[in-house]
Amino acid sequence: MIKIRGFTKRYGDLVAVSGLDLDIEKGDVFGFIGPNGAGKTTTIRFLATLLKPTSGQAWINGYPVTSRPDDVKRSIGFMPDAFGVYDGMKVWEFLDFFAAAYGIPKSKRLAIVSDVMALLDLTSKRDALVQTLSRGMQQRLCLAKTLVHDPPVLILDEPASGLDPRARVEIKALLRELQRMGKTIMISSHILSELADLCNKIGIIEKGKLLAAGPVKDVVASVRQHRVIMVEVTGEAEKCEIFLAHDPRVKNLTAAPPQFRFEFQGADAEVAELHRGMVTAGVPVLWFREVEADLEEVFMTITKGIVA
Amino acid sequence: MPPLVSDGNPVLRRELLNVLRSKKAFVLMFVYAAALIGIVYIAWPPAGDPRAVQSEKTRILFNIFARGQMVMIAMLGPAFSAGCVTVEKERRSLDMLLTTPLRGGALLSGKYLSSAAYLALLTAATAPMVASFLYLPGLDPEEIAGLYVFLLAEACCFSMVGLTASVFLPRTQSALSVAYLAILPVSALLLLVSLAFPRFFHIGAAIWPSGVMAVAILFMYAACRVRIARPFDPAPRSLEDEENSSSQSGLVLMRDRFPDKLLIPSRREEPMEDGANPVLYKEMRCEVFGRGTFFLRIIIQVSMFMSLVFLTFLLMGREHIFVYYLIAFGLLAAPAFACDAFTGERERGTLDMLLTTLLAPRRIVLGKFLASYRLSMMLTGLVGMAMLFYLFVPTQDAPAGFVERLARLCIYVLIVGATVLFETVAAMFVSLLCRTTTASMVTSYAVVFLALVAPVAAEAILRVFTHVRMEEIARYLVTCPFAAAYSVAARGGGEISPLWIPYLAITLSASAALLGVMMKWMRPIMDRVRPAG
Repeated sequence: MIKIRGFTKRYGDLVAVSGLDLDIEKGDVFGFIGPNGAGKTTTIRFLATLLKPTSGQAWINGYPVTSRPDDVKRSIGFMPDAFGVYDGMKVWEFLDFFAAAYGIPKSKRLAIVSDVMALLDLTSKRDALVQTLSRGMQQRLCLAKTLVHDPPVLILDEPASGLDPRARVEIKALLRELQRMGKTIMISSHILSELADLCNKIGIIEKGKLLAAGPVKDVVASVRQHRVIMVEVTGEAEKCEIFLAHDPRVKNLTAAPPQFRFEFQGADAEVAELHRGMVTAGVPVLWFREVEADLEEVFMTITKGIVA
Repeated sequence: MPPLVSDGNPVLRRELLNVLRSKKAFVLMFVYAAALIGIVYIAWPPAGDPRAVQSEKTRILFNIFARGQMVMIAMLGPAFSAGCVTVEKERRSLDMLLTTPLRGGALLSGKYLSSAAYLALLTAATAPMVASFLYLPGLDPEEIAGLYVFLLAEACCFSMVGLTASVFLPRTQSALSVAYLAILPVSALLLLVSLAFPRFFHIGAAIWPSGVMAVAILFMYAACRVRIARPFDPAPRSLEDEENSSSQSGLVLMRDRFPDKLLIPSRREEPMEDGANPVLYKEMRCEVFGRGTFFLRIIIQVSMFMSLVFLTFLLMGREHIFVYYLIAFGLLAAPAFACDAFTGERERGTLDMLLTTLLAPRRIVLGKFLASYRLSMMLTGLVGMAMLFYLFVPTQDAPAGFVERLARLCIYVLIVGATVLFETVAAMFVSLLCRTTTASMVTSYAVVFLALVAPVAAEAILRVFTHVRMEEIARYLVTCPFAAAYSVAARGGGEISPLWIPYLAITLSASAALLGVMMKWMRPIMDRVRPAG
């Protein structure tokens, strides 16, 4: 649904994005993450037809971004990271304005505006002036605006920034609903825990270069060369520590009795064998579990905090 | 407690450094001083004793300098001050300032003195040139002293008007518009009085208007201090609130009443029609007055009252002076409404959303143009309604026949309409090239002033101080709406060429060309201007 090949953008001597290749399939929810200044917004603006590339090309819904911008605009709903609203417009007028700007005929517009307001829970604010809405409501309104022409692709730049926890949860639920509706969503965000819940694929960009991309699990696995396991015992902590210290597959053992944390090199069967061995050796194991890597750890491991 | 004026006022220090250290400030002062030196050079007698020059010519030169600087101060005063506080509001840094131990008075004085200081410096920089006129006969030192007392008072007063608008209004664009519209009638009045009294700039006379302006400054400052002490509402009063407030009838624009509905069409409860230009709809019904109309209404009422003053000239058979007033009104109003056409979208953060719709650039440009032009023409029309007297009440020196008067009126309307058209299009074009509305507004006024008003000064200098033939000098006036209007009024005399014809041709074709460029190359121009993202 979205394909980028060799996208490069320079501003004078500054290389904002360098030779970026990316594929996002239909129905994917793709999380685009990176430090500030990494090139996320540059890439997103290029896809939204707002930026000319120095070199490279992208296709959205089969249309080349640089040569068929109108077809691309029809195919995407774009929510910029910093957006404003038009003073003096009511909520329904704002949506009607964008629906008309996408060429939707009057006969369909009223129903579409009503549907979109219902989907985004804005119906009660229909006649409110847009500048009087709270930040969270304005975010919803902007998201509603991206849906008025029913695009198959949504490109959302930091849609949850500046929102309170409740509004974030609501936006996340909305995005899940849109995913169920079959939309392909590209979303950039700094709130990594939320992206992990929402996305099936991620891409990590730093200093204008894509460092990793693919299904979340694959990216996480590629980052961790070992497993992290935690154990808690009900007593005999010394026995447990000696047992683990003598296993050559166990590295970096951290003992905080009654809990132990260590890195383990081995497949699933070997993990099971270790567990069984501990129980057989008489270590009173209360629980034994593997600690999953999260996106924050992946992000911190892959990136170095360098901007372009 | 930080003192109001000293190194201890951090706002003053920061603002002064910002203003005086900028390249723009230096370039503006250099260009301004160079232009004035050029005028003195042209006007100075080529050889021999300067005292051989006729005293009448010295006075003409002095008057050009004096009135030119009056206009310059009226243009630059709000440009430096009307964004002082609104910019802090727009950046959301005002709350940070107001929660420091800094008093409201220190904040205001810092903002005010820094904006007025540069303007005062710009004015004072011309003093040596004007003082050189003392070598020529016909001018007293008291007149030069009076001129500078008056100009400095005007600079301080107009800067204060800008600051007041900036304190009371939520956005820079609205503050600039209101400040300019407030300054217009005052400037017009001051120019008229200075024309009526030849010794206006003598220190004995100039002290009076200067004193009145000083008192006005104190009143405005006091009002600003009261306002800045109160919290600023993050969701300011909107047009909708005004519409719901019946107690303010007459002070706000009512969509369902004539003539208000000419300015701001009533809201629709149905989606816009197929084929309608969404940008035009948005601009006309929502955007322009989205933050309220209270101040604008007051300005309209003051301007209409001023038009009654100028009606005297109409009744005296000098209808072109009334047309001058209309042209001057349009000169200030049209750029104020058009100069944020694109910078406003940038500053609000709506540009990207607009550009990712299917609206073609020509429709965006056309929508914005029609909305701005319509509004400026409506406002100018309201102020100029008194011209109907000319049609129905035959005045001294006016053509006797109704048809002739109607024809003349039509030409005046064409001149005013073409002037407003050019100003609107020029301001929109400048807005396409600028990053901020403040920069766009100042540049728009400079462009419009240079294109339409500066030729008057150039013509006067060439006529009085050079031997260039009259026919050639007239060429310099083809872009001047005032000269075009005068040529219509003086046509009966037979000695003036009908300048309005080439004027209309030039302004209309220049406007069409600029509109065409915007429609064709809006995106490429915008891409060059937009900050790297």
